[in-house]
Amino acid sequence: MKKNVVPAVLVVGLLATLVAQAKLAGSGGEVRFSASGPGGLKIVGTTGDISVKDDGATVTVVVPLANLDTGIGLRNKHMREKYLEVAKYPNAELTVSRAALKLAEGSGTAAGTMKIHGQSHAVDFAYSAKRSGSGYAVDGTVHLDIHDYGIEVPSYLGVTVKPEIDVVARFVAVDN
Amino acid sequence: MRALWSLLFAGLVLVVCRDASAYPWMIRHEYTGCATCHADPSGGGLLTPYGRAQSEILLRTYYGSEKPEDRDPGALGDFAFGAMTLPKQLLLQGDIRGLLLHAVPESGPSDSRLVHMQSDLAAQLTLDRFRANVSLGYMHKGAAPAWLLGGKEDHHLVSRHHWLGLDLGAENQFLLRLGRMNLPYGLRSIEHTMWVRSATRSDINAAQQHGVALAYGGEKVRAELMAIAGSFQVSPDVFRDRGYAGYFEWAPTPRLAVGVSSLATHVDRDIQVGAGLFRQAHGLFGRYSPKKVLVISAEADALGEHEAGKPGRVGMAAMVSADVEPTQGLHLLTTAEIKDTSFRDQGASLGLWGGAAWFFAPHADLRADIVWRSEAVGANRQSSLALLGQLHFFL
Repeated sequence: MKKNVVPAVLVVGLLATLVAQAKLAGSGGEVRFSASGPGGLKIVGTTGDISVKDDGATVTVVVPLANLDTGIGLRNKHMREKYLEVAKYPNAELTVSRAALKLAEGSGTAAGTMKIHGQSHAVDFAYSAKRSGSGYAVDGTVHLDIHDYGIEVPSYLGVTVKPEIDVVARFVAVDN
Repeated sequence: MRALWSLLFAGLVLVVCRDASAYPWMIRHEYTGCATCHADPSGGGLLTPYGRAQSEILLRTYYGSEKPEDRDPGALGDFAFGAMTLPKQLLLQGDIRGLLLHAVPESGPSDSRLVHMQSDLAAQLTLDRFRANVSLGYMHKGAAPAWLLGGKEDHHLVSRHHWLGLDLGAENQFLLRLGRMNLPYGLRSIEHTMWVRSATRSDINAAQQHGVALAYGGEKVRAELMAIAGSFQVSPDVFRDRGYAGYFEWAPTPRLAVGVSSLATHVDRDIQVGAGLFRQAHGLFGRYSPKKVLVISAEADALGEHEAGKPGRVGMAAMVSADVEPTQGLHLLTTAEIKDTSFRDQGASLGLWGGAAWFFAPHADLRADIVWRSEAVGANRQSSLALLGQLHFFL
């Protein structure tokens, strides 16, 4: 019934960074998506769960979706259960070739593969990386269309959310 | 002095009569716009199905151990609690509101009375891009500018708004309206006696005017501009205001919105001053929710009046308000306000409000306020204290 929401998808944009071998610090991350609807409706979802894996050839940013929060309990439930189906597809993941990340240049764009809701789709994302202590403060943005991931467009009592969403990810990565 | 007190008391009563819900503090839930929940694109009154659901999900108190994510209202928020299913094209809402007022004068005996504030039925029919919207109600006294029938009798048929609308744009982001509407100006709230509302004559109790308005609702911007043709529920024509009113609001973040308003009207014979009057107001307003528990709202307006044959007057009205919601459904409210309708002729009036509103059950809320005001009236100053209790139900 209630479907308020928006799914969220997430992801992240990310990354970046880093050039060399980098690994995400244990804290300091946040992923935020924003979606919009009629009448100026705006829905923002956030989670602090984010991690980065680096096998030397590819960097994978993983965002668990179970704690994604839009500020309204029932809307979260609809988002997680009806749209994102978090029980079946617990994570959003962005995979990018390490060579595509030009950290030393501070910012750039790169192509990667986003996997959400069990479906993968090529995406372009923008990132910036600033030296922060022994690591980098990374900021990434990506624009997604939930149709690409087989996610039903959320609609609740006559209010239907637009399928395009923006995702911003911020985290600190440290050099290996 | 007795006459002055009667005037203040009458003002208090008139002031508390109000239209249905309009809550700027919904910004705490990251709702900066109004059109998702209300038929009126600038907020207040008749709720959409989505707005009814949010009323259940976000506004009222829950008493059990039910988790927030399990609070699915089903049909409970619907018209008549879902006892009857309305066609999708029809919105329908009934509102009843009563007030117990106890006024304590600076001198003389106190006075208590029950006040019938509202008994309205509002409806909207939508066919494709066309809308027809109307409210009809009964008033014993008060809300005189909204009277349709009743004249000097004690029983009146009132219509606060009635308009025809056309949704425009690929996503219906524009709404063009013709008819009687709330004036698009400043913060739209139910506290229509607040000076920023009464001094600008832009409250949603009975200050509506006939005219044409174009509203816009986007992701970060909402705005409305209205050409005012005057209230055709007032006659003869010399009493009708002509002019414009409008606002523009920008929400840079989901919990912050700032806006500007402007209004200018001319009337050949103003009902309050009995002469020709050119009136204008221009102001700033904003809402901010740093934490979900707290919403701060503020408005400041510059006022100008030029009465025929007299020198012009310049003044101001401003308020700052805080709404704290320690637990869902219970709001603790406080407001400070100031008004000076003529910097030249008199001093400033000051007001303090404190109170609580409790959305204690589906479709029902209670409110208690204490209002202290020290008002400059010509060369005199009169303080007043009023205790108000209100009970509101809607179907």
